[in-house]
Order: sequence, then structure tokens, then C-alpha cells
Amino acid sequence: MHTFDGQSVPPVPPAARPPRHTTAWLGIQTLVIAVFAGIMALIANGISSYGAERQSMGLLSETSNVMLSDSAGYCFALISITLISLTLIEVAFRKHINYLQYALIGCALGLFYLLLLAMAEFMPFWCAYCIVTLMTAGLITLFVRGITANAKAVTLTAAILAAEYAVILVLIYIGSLALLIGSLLLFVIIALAMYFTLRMRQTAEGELIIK
Amino acid sequence: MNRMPATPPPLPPQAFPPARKGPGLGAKIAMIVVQCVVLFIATLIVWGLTYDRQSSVNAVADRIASEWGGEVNIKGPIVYPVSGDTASVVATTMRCAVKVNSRTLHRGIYEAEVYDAEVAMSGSFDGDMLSSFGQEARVEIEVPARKIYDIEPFEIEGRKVEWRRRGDMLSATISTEGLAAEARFSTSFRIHGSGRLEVAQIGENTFVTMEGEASNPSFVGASLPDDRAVTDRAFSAQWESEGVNAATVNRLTLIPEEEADETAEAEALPDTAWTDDDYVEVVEIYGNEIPSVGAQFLVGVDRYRKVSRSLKYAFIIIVLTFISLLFTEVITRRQIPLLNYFLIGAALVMFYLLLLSFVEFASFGAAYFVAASMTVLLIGIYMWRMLASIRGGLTISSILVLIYSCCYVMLCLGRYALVLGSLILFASLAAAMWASLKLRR
Repeated sequence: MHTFDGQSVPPVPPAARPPRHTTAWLGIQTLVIAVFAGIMALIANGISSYGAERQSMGLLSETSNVMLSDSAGYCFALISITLISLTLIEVAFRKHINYLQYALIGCALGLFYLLLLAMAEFMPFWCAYCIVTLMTAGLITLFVRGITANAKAVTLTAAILAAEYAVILVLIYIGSLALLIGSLLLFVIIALAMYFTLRMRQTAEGELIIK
Repeated sequence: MNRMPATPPPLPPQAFPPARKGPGLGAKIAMIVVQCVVLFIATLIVWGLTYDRQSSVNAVADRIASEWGGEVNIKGPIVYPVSGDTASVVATTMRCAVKVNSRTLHRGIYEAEVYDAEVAMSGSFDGDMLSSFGQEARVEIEVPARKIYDIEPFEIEGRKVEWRRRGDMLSATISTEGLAAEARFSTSFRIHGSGRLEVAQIGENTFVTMEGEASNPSFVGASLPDDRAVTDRAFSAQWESEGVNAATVNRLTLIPEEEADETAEAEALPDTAWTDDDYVEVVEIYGNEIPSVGAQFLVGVDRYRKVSRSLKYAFIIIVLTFISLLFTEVITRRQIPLLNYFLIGAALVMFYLLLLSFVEFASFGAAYFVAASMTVLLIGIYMWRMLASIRGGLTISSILVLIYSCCYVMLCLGRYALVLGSLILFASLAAAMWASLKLRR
């Protein structure tokens, strides 16, 4: 920026901040989320093999173990969908969620599987699943409320999380049809994401907004 | 800096420099390459899923098939004395004709290919050798007897003897009286099985023929067929083995290995000029391991194999699509954000997931068609809305249609796939060069 000595310094508008939500930011954000979700998926995989170990020790029933490893298979999709929808929420509501907060939310989503494993040793799987889902979704919703302080954003986050976990629970229980329904749902989700990117517009400053 | 302008220059319209219009082309390409790698990892995940499904489905198929009948190895007929089984006589001529009728068993979404084979055996024994066993002799065919149906009695020189089932064996006691020097025999039965079907070449001269229908037979055993024909569904094959010294076979067959050395020392072998070395070698071949020939059939479905083969082209499809997107971007002078690239790439990977899930309910061709049209429609509409031009959408759709149909043709072609694939790559390289020349004008 050009500075001037002397008297005629024009007042700089105080609201002017460099745009945060640019296309470049969105691209980097997506990549970071994909990589992070991949890492968390590996961790979830590790947790599910730990589940197999617990099963061999006789602490976890076999059906619970199978269901646990089935649900861990959805980890990548779950984390990337959640974080990308948080990104879209960030853009739509003009809020700022930083990378540490994203990472914390991702960790909460990963911790879900460890909690699920621990809980499933004491109760039927669906029961453990519901309790842990309530815990995780509640924690993340409260966290998002703390970050954004926006009732609509909080409701949206809660709804997305609840829908994801409900769909995964159904997919685990329906067995042989799971792949068909799961892949069709993923197709719909990609179509939805495409729709949102089309609704996105760039202002003159390069800031993205969702109409 | 030192020279003060007489009047301050007009303020820039914005307090900060205008946003750069995205990264430069080079940086963008680098990011796209990174995206390609990420998408390739996603493809690997889909591949792993395909492998998982295949192995679990094949495990179920194996279970269904084993209830129907497992692998079949037909070994016989061999004639023993009524008591004891150290001495034995095999047929001088053995003809075994097998007609394989394959059928598919369904259970839910799982299916297994099994077969129902009609086996007809005929040939001749050396009557004098059979008579040397005494008044009666015992004929045996080693075969999984529980799965045998429509069994015809063993007929030798016009005399019929009913078979008795003894565990994994058919057994019949025949009278050796008045047998001609060349005693003709015949018998037949149907057998249920799956996977493998083998016939032991147990006889001086053996002629094994196998024909029928199976989706993907492969020939296995000690030797490959002398004559074979495999068409789309039907196959036929023929094995001949002859010229094995009758005396050697007759004396040496079915001697357990531990006894082989003792026998070699005990027997003086007066009538043959065989050395001890030859002798032991023959025992090793014929003593325990009677050569069998036959065919192997696929029990599980092979559509997953097609899915995993089509996954090989995923990388090419993604790269070609991204290249055409880059050109679209440069030609239309409209930015396509990296996120949009990623979503299109994700849709391309989704194609394989859709294909995998559809293939369990429909044939591969139908599944491919539906999944490809869904993907092409999605990406086409997306490009149309993104570029706000129906032409752009149609161009990308037609490129995708071309790529997907080429991949399908390559999957079906088999042998010519490599030639066609490299030609397509050459053509797309040429197209890219042509497009880049157009850019400069």
C-alpha cells in the first residue's frame, strides 16, 4: 500500500479487512480436509483393529465388533462431509473457524469410534451408538455455538451431524443393501456440494458468499 | 518516494489490493496434480472395497456350492482281488466322456456356479489278468459317491453288476469266469459338483473328453488338452494318453510310497530291462500321484473382476477429464475453482462406487451404463450451470461419454485393449496439442 507523508491522509474505512473466504482458501481448505479425513480414517481403522483385539480377549461381542468395523469404514466420508459442511457454514454465515478448531472437531469425530468401542463392551451396540452419537454431536454443536454464536449455524450443524449418524446406523443394520444405498447417498451428497458451489458468488474483493 | 506529487493521487477504489484472480496456471496445475493423487487414493479405497465384497461374496458362493457338491476327481475303474488291495489291474483302454451342465444357484444377492456332470465310462480290461485274481474280483471307482445320481450298473461283457457306495468310492464285485482276453466294460452316472472336475488317466490308453457349458473354464491337471475349443459359453476338450507299458502300469499302480523301495528290492524284475532308477521314478509318478486332467470352473461371480479391471482406468479418466477442464477454463476465460475440480473428480470416483453397488443387482453392462449416465449427467449439468453455457456442458458431457465408452470397449476387448488404449491416449494427446495451439491464436 502506498503511504503518504503530510497532511492529506485519507481516512481508511475501518471495516476493510483482506478477504478471508477466497477461492484459493476454499481449495486449500478442501485439500487440508481431505488429508485430515484420510489420517483420521487410518486412526479409525486402527481403533477397529483394536476392537478385534478386545473381541479376542472376550470383552466385546462379535456382532458389536463387526458393526464397529463397519461404522469405522464410514469414517472418511463422515469427517470430510462434516468438515466441508462446516466450511460452507463458515462461508454462508460469514464466520471464522480456524484450523485448530477444525482439527478439534475432527478429533471429536475420530474419538467417537474409541468411545463407541468402550461403550459397546457394556451394552448392546445400538444403545452404545446412540449414547456416543449424542455425546459427540452435543459436544460439536456446543463448540460450534461457541465459535459462531449463530443459532441458525448451530441448528444446521446439529441437523447435519444427526442425519449423518442416523444414516450410518441404518446402513450398518441393513447389511447387503448398504453399499447400494450408501453409494447413491454419496452421489446425492456430491450433487448437493456441486449445487452449493454454484450458489457461491465472488464479491469484487474476492470474498465468497453463498446466496 | 522522494518526489512528492503536487496533488495526492486519487485513492485506489479499494483500501487493499484487489484480490488476485486465483492462483496462476502453473500453481493451479500443481494443485490439480495433488488432487489427482488424493482422488487416486480414493480409487484405491474403492478397489479395496471391491476386493472385500468379492471375497465375502465368494465365501458365500463356496458355501452354497459345497452344499451342492465340492470338487470332483474321478479315479477308476481299478480291479482288485476280493481281499487285499496291493495288487491291482487298470484298464487297457479307458474312455471317459464327461458332459458338464453348469447352472447357477441363487440365494439372496449371492449366487454360485455349480455343475451337474454326466459321466460315461467305457473301455476294456485284460481278461486274463482279471482271471488271475480268482473267481471274483472287485472293481472300484474313487469318486465322491454321496453326490452321484442316475447310476447305471457296471457292465462287463454283457453282465450287469450293481454298484455299492462305500464312502468316497463305488464298488462292485464281478465274476471273472469266462472273460474274453479283451473284456469290455461300461458304466455311467451323473454327479453334482463345483469348482474343479478331474478325471484320472488311469489306464494303459486313456481318452478323456469333456464338453459342456461353463462361463469361464480353465484346463488344469497333469497335461493340457490335446484338442480344445472354447467359445462364449460352450467348451470342449480332449485328452489322450497312450503308450504306457501295460505290465509296468499294472504292477506299479497304487503302491504306497513307503512300500515302493521294499518292492523295488524284493522284485527281481526278470522280464523287463528296467534299471532300478527307472523303476523308482515310475513308482513316484504312478504310485501315489496318478495324473489327472480336467477343468476348473469359477464358483463365484466374476463381475467384481470386471469392476476391479475397470478401476485400472480410473486414473486415466480423471487425468483426461481434468485436462479438458483446464482447457475449458483457458478457452472460455472463466475461472473454475479448485473445489469444483475436486467435486468433479469425486464424481468420477463415485462412478466406480456406483458401478460396484449396481453390479450386485444387474449385469455388468447395465450397471456400467446406468452408473456412467448418472455421472455424465451430473457433471454435464454442473458444467452447464457453472459456465452458464449449454455448449460447455455438452462438450464436457460428450468428452466423458467418449472416455467411458472407450473404457467399456477396452474392458470387453481383452486382447486388443492395450492397442486401443494406447491409440486413444495418442489421440487425446494430439487433441490436447491441437487445443493448446488454438490458444495462442
